[in-house]
Amino acid sequence: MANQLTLIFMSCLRRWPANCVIKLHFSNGLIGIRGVIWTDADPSPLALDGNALTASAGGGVAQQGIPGLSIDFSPDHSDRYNLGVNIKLGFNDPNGQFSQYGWIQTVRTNKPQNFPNRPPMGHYEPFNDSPGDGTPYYPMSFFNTEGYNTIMVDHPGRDRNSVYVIWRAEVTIGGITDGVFVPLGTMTYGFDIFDGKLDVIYPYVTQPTPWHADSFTNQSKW
Amino acid sequence: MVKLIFAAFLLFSTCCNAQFQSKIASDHIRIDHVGPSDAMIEPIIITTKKLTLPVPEVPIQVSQDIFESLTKYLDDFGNLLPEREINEFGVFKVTKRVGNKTEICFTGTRKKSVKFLTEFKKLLKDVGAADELVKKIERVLKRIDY
Repeated sequence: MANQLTLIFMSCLRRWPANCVIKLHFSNGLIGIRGVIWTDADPSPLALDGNALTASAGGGVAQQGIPGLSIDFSPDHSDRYNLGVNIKLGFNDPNGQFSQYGWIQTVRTNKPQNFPNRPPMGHYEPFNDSPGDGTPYYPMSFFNTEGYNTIMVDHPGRDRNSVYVIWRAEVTIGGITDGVFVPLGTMTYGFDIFDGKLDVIYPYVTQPTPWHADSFTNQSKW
Repeated sequence: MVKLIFAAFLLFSTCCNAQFQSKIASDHIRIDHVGPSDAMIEPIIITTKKLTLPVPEVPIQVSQDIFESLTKYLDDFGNLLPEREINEFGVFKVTKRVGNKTEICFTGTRKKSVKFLTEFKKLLKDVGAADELVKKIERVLKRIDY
């Protein structure tokens, strides 16, 4: 019971301030919590093309889009072993103001994977999602293909038997001029796994957190 | 009947990992990371024909001779498994399609993946495969070899 209450409490924290209501089901009078139902509406379908992307941020609140950004987001890329999500972001700069573009992604998770060139991480410690190649840029990026200035792809996942996983990414698209990254827009997406069940965090536009914004220039984070 | 269809759908949707992989009918070798991960590890796709696939699938064409050398390496490499040994970061699925026959195996563990890919990279250099392919393997090794 204690574990269940902890999970419920953590669920509230991680989703707050999303518009969700916890419904406690009682059986045998006031004994026993049978379950929790999230009542926030299913996120609206994401625009696959166009500049007016709106996405529900877990609570049905429309966000202003990032001009030029297209999203292909699958809430479940799961297989027999893993649960997770798949995201493919395409960007065409409507102003065409840069000759180079890049994606910078920060991940926070309580179950980090190990990477070379990186010290062991504590729970929820954010890290720049790059291979330690001396740049802050997310590696699975492609340029001038499929009609976009740039595309990034990720499909993070964890073992489907996981009891408690929180995984969040902040990803920023930006132009690069004289080696300097100029952010143009930031999104958050991710997933949770509770007792082997996937809970998807659909992409939504946000402001970069201080840690993420600092990673654009702070070489010690690469 | 409805239950049967529903069950079949569930089975398909939970057991199929190919929904983001292009179906390639011609001869090819592909090496896909299948373990849990934070960042995607690029798939390695080696073909004998020039193909264009949606990113992140970027196939690299090799000659028939090189392709045969690589398939022989896969046949002779003793540590590939028919099933996943454990589900950990750094485990890869290796798919080989020659003619109409497709074989799938797994590298087992991250450490075995390192050994497999290190020797694979050496072979690629020995047979004179494109630098782009060697560099792809090096990038993968950089992520998993620690």
